[in-house]
Amino acid sequence: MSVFGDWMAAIFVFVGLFFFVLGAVGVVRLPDTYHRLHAATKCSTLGLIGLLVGVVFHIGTGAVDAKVATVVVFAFVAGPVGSHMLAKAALRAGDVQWGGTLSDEHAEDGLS
Amino acid sequence: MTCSALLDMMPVVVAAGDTASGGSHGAEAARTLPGQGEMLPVLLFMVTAGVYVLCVGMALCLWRLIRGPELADRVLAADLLALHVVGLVVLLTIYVGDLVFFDAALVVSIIGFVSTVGFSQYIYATAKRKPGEARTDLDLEPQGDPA
Repeated sequence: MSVFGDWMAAIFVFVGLFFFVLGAVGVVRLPDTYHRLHAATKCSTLGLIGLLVGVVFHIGTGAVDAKVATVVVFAFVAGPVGSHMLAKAALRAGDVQWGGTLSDEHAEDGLS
Repeated sequence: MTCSALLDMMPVVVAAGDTASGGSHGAEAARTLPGQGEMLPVLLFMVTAGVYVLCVGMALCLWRLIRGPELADRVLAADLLALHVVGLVVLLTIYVGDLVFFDAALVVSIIGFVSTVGFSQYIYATAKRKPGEARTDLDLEPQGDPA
């Protein structure tokens, strides 16, 4: 709990909150399911990492580091896996794509 | 009873099990609750602003959860909602300066991941297969091609 640590924590919390805002706005504003998945997963994973690094800088004991490392590893694994499964399911369920989509390699391969 | 009298009573009620230590009411009893740890004002401002930011984000997710045209939209909104709750728990950890609540972050993120996986399996299994598409183990309907 030093001055340097608190400043670094404030910076990382700001970065995390920025990504959280980006994710939430993207989920509301983007045009189709696949775009929204892109915004939600990437932004929220990065935002969570930012907040957790802020905790490490603010408290900074060994127990905190271990627990934060656990959550970070879990978030990095769980976010992409869940997003991939959801995108695959949405594609199979035939969710409509945005009209401006340029390339659909899944359809070009005859898979959908 | 006025509102301020209720607020004065509240710490006494919460710390009711602690009265054996003698003569605790009001401000002294409130200290038994986890309060704010020491931090710079800039970090305190960030954490306070972050609570508002995450609440607005949760409102946006809720809007997508209610509106979302497809089921997949609702599932991803719920996943993002769980992540916002994790963010709130992390901010609370910074505010208190102690790890008492931090396990909740791990638990909520695990629950969010498992529910996302479960709902994606459900969407995948109930989707109609295209003509000629092979049946997978996940499919619920046992018949042949829908065409």
